[in-house]
Amino acid sequence: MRWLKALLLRILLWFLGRGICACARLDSRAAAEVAGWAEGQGLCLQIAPTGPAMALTKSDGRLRFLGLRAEPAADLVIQFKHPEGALPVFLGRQSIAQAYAQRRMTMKGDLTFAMSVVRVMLITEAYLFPGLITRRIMQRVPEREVSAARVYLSTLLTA
Amino acid sequence: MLPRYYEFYNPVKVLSGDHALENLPYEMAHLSASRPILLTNQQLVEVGLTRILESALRGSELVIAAQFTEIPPDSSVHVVNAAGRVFREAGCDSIIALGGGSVIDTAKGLRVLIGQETDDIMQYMGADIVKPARRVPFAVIPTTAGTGSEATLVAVIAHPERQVKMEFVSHHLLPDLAVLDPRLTRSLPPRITASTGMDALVHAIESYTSVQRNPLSDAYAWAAIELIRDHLPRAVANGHDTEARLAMANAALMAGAAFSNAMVGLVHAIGHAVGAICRVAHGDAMAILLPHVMEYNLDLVHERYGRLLLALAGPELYAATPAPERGQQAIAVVRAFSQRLHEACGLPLRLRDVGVTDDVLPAIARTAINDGALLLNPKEAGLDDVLQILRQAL
Repeated sequence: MRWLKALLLRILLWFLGRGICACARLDSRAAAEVAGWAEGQGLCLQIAPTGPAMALTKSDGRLRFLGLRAEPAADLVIQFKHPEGALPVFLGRQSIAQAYAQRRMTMKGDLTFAMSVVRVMLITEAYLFPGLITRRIMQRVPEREVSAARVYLSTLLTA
Repeated sequence: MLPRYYEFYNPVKVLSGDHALENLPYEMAHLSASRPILLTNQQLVEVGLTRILESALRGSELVIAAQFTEIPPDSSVHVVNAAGRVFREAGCDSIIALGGGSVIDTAKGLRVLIGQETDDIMQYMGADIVKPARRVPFAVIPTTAGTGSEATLVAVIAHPERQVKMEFVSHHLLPDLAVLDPRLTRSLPPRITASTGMDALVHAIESYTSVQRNPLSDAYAWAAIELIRDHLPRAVANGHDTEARLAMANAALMAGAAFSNAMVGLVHAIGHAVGAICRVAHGDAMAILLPHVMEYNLDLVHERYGRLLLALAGPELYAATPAPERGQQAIAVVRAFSQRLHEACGLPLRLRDVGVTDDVLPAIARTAINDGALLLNPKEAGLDDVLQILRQAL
């Protein structure tokens, strides 16, 4: 079962990472957040102890998915302490704030930057998850500016 | 209802009451510490607080190996590095912090610096990433009753060149000892007593309603509120009221332990921004913003505020208030409490009273929404919500 969960997390991280990049292109609020990030600023999301990871960085003014790999030197490294703490977040069963409140993760880097990352993640989740799920984990679900299908298409085709 | 999962950690040994300072050498010896560096500031030296400590240590085997007093109101990485050089040159083996928030934050930064055996604490900025290679015994002697920093896992240290306030959140920042000796807060002026006391009240109220709250943090928050209700006005009216001073020192520590394990919320997110942009004293910002943020949160945490009415006002008012009205009544009690302190010592009630002007509110709001405290507020808040709260508080 462990390998299955690890595989599931890899798939979910891939979708989330590329989905964030898609939202940064298609959603004005996500784009505005990323516009405030410095060139080269990046984040890494990983699952301890040896689980999957994904990394993003802003390069040439655009947010780019660096792949399913760890970037320990990223400006912000969010590391879930265990796959069981990460899965509810990536499956839409728990908000990132609730996971933080339960101390499911460590954060290395500037926590101010983390707040901007969280806002972009919330916008992305509003596209990637159905309303039934987002309404359960968010008090205010960000309205979709474009169709979810367009974000999904961009997530699948454009990194 | 119990959270589905929570963590609580408070390993601080508390020495509270008469001649608490005199027990410090015994406790430090048990931590294998004999040559501490004393961190404090020049003002506290001048008012004679270090003399009280020196007198308490006289005749013991605990030797203050070095004293570092160059600590400004907002500590920075340069201050921590300078303290680190003094620590290493004097061959110190432990840390004693005597002071308020800035001194204690500097001491926590120093503990990271020495414990990690590093010259750059920047790489340890963040939440739960400090893993010390060396254990440095650490005692805190607070000289204000408000920050509760002697029982918290948080430190904020500025990096002026990078223009960031580095936030460190780690259990390894919690001191081994907290010494609450009423002799050390006796000289605190009424106005600062009120302001710092309101900071403690905000810690307790925000942790009681935080997303991260848990039964243990609730217990600490509740006890702190009752102590503040009964003793803050007394400590403001008469600084030499030893019982009130000691009660407030305990309340601040308990509220600190509560927020260390449940964190704070929107009052702190906005208050940090008000402090950063307009240089408003932290406690003043807390006192001004508290009722406005409570109004904002009320619809989501009505029941929690309603319960707090018992701690804030006592059983008579609680019993006389119908259940649906208790939340709103709790806010009214907080307003009346601030008003009472305003009349006693001039505690400010509006942002304009502390020099905040309408034109800086958007900048404050933009800074506030990037504060980590916002994440755990019971009600989500965006830029427009924060702006509205600021306008109401102006």
